[in-house]
Order: sequence, then C-alpha cells, then structure tokens
Amino acid sequence: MEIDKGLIGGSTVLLLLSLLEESDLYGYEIIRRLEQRSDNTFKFREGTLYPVLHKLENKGYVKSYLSKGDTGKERKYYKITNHGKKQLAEEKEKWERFSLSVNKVIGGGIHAFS
Amino acid sequence: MLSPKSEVFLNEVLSYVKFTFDRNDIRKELEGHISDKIEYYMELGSEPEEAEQLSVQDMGDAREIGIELNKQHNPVLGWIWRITGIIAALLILLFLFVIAMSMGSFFQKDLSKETPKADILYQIDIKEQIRIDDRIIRFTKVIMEESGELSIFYTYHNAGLLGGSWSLGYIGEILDDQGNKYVAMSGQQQGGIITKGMLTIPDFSRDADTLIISYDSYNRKYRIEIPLEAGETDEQN
Amino acid sequence: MSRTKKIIRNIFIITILSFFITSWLGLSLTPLAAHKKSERGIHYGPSEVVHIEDYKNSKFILGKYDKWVSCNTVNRVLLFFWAAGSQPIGFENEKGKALCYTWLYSNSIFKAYGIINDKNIKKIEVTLTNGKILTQTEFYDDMFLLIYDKEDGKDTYFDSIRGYDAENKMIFEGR
Repeated sequence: MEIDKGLIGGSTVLLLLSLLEESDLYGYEIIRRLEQRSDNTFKFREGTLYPVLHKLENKGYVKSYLSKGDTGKERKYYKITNHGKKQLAEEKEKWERFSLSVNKVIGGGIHAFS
Repeated sequence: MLSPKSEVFLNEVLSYVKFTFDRNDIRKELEGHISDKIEYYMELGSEPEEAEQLSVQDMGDAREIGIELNKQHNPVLGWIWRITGIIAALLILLFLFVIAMSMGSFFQKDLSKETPKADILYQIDIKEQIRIDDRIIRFTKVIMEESGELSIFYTYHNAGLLGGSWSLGYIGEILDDQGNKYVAMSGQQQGGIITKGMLTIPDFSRDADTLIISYDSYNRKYRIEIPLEAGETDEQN
Repeated sequence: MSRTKKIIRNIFIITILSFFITSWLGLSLTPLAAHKKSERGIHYGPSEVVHIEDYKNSKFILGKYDKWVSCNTVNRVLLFFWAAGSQPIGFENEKGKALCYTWLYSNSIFKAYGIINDKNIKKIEVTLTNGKILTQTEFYDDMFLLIYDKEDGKDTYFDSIRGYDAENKMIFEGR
C-alpha cells in the first residue's frame, strides 16, 4: 500500500520534532528516515517538508545551521531547541490522549456490538 | 550541475517567494535535496536523466511548495528584519566610533608633562573634586615655573553616562591670599568623555602662599584653597 | 533565532543605542527638555519659562531665573529631535530701571528682548538700523520679544528702543 502524503499538516510537527530530538538532521535525511520508519508506506511529496521546517524555525522550535557532514557537502541542518522539546512533550501528550480516545471509541463500538 | 529540469522546478518554487533576499538560501537547500535524491536513484541503477526526472517528480508540486514557503518567509517581517538590522548595525558602528573617539582622551598626552623639567620651580599634586550640576571637576596639579608662571591642571566629566558634551568655559576666578586677582590667562582643553584642561597665569605673586579658585556664578559656588610652597621658602630664607 | 526574535533584538539595540547617542549629542525629544539640558550644561537656571515663540525650525524661550532673564533658542534637528541653539544665559534685571533689554543678531535673525519693570509702559518700539520699527503691545507677563528676519539680505542691527505709556507718551528711551 502506498499513501501519497504531503507534509503540510498538523501531525507532521510531532513526527519532525521527535526525529530531531534524536539527532540534528538535514532535509533529505529527514525524508529518508520517515520513509524507513514507515516501511515505505508513505510516498512523500518531499518538497513540502521545507515549508514545515521553516515554520518550525520561525516558531523557534528548531534552529538551523550550515555544516559539512561526512560527505563534504555543505547542508542545512536542523537542531531542536529547548522550546521545541517542550512543544514535543506537549504534542506527544496530545497525541496519546487522542489515540487513547480513538481506541476507546473503537473498543466501545466493538463492545456495543458484542 | 543540475539540468534545466530541476532549474525549471526551482525557479517556479522561488517565483512564489516574495521576499527575494531569502530565495538564494531556499534554492541551495532544495538543490541539495534534489542532488541527493539523484545520487540515490543512480545508485539504484537509473540513468542520470531518468534519475533527475524522478527526483524532481518526488519533490511534489512546485506551486504548492512555493506558496507555503512564501507564508514562512513573510516579506513584511523580512523587510522589517533587514531594515532594523541595518539600522542596528549602523548604530553599533556609530556607538563604537564615539567610544573610540572618547577613549582617545585617556591616551592623550598629559598636559602637565609639557613643561620642561628645568623650568619647574615646584609642583603640587592636588586632589580636589567639586560638582556643579551634572559636571564633576577635579583639580589635579599645580605647577609653578621659575619664570613665575603658574599653571592649574584639571579634568572634568559628566556624572552618569548620559549627558551632553558641553565644554566648560570657566573654572572660576583665580585669587591668592594676598588679595590679588588674576586675569588674562591662557588655557587649553582637550576633550572626550574626560576632558583635560589647563589654565596658565603668566605672573603669579611669589609672596602668595595660597592659591584660591573661586566660582560664584548663577547660584553655583565653590571655593578651593591650595597651599603653595612659596610661603615656606620665604620663611627658610 | 527566529526572525521575529531577531527583529525584537534589533529594536532593543536600536532603542538603547539611540538613547545613548542622542544624549551624547545633546539631543532631546522635546524643546523644553533641550532647553533645560542646555541651561544645566552651562550651569545656569533652571529658569521659569515665561513664553515660547515658534519661529521656523526654532523655538525662542523667554525665561526668568532668580534675578536674571533670558531668551534661549532651541532648534529642531534630524526631524525628531531638539538641540540647544545659543544664548541660554540672559542678563541681570536691574529693578531700578523702567526697562531692561538686550538684543542679538545671529543666523540672520534679529532679536530684542527684555523685561518691563515700570508697569506704566504699555508699548515697546524698537528701531532698527534700516529704519524699520518693530512694535509690541501685548507682553508675556512682563517680558517682551521682538523678532526681525532680514528680508533684503542686508544685516540689520539695533538702533534704539522706546517705551510708551497708555497715552502714547514716551517714558523710556534707550540706545
């Protein structure tokens, strides 16, 4: 199954911040990791990542810096800020509450029919 | 490095970004991404041209990306940022320039060192400090020359960091304990945060044993009495 | 740092530094602040402001301080600021005289000002060297100010001053 997915949307913030919490990454790396972790379920429209990254930067959740990685190519890396870490914790909590209630509804439905 | 295909894509994305100063950075970032992706496809065995085609395709819709990027690169904010940045930079330069100019006064030649040693009959170091309004005046030294020329050295500065740089025209009347009043003197001042000044009286009485500086003008007053050595030498003789 | 933060930082720097720089340059935001600063800087005053006369980019400020009267000038500079012009210090009012006055001529503007001690004086007339007569009948408290801007391009100086009573009889003359 392949789902065509644009990255401009609410839940992306959670995904990106949790990736960046592990290490500083540049755009292309972020896409690769997202694909790997979703077992290539998502076929990203990769360019849409950048407006989101720039938005995170404007909000102060991440900051960027230029650096030459192991390949010697200069790339723009993103690094999570303290503010971003706080935001991530909040988003995670929201997400957990959301999935919990979704599960309840689904579970409840099953229960009702049983 | 990249062929017209990616160029067309990048140009279209950037055409939506109204704040032109950010275009270059965005272009570099997206270019980097596309070329990484091309490498990836070529490692999988694609021909360069095909790899590029696929890579650009993977980026998505140039219009959508451009419009969203433009939202994050608000031109109004961008311009305010640039203009305030330029003004701030200019002010910092001006500020440093003023500081540097004022620092100059700390390294200025000491006026009292200009009198040749041989001409000095005696000199007295004094530490008198007075304040009128926001100005602090320190009298530092008196030099009496063989010729009878007496020089008074002083510095002044403003109390606090904020204060106009007004020069001080007048430090008071110069008198002595014999009742003499001195006029027609020469003086000089060199400025900065701390201004150094010197006042010279050509023919100071040799009998006087106290120099008096008396300021009384527009309800501001001070009086400083400086004991001189002249009186003592007279007694010894 | 996000752009908004950078803007805030820039504005902060601009505010602090302009505060320092303008005060070092002796600039003030209001004419009265410039006036006060110039008096303090020259160790005179603070005077009680009797009248402020607008004149082009300047303000002439008539003031009294203890036994002195003055007519300070402050000028508008760099659009937003006011800086001291000249003559913050005035002259001593000799109460025994019916009228004390002075005049000055600078930057092609002639000014005569003074204080009226004799309450019978109801009109002041100043004659200039070019024959022109300046008159004032409404005084500021007991002070007067007459201004003349040279029109023909020739420098004009003070010739004489006269004070008249209510019946238009000359009761004071000075040259």
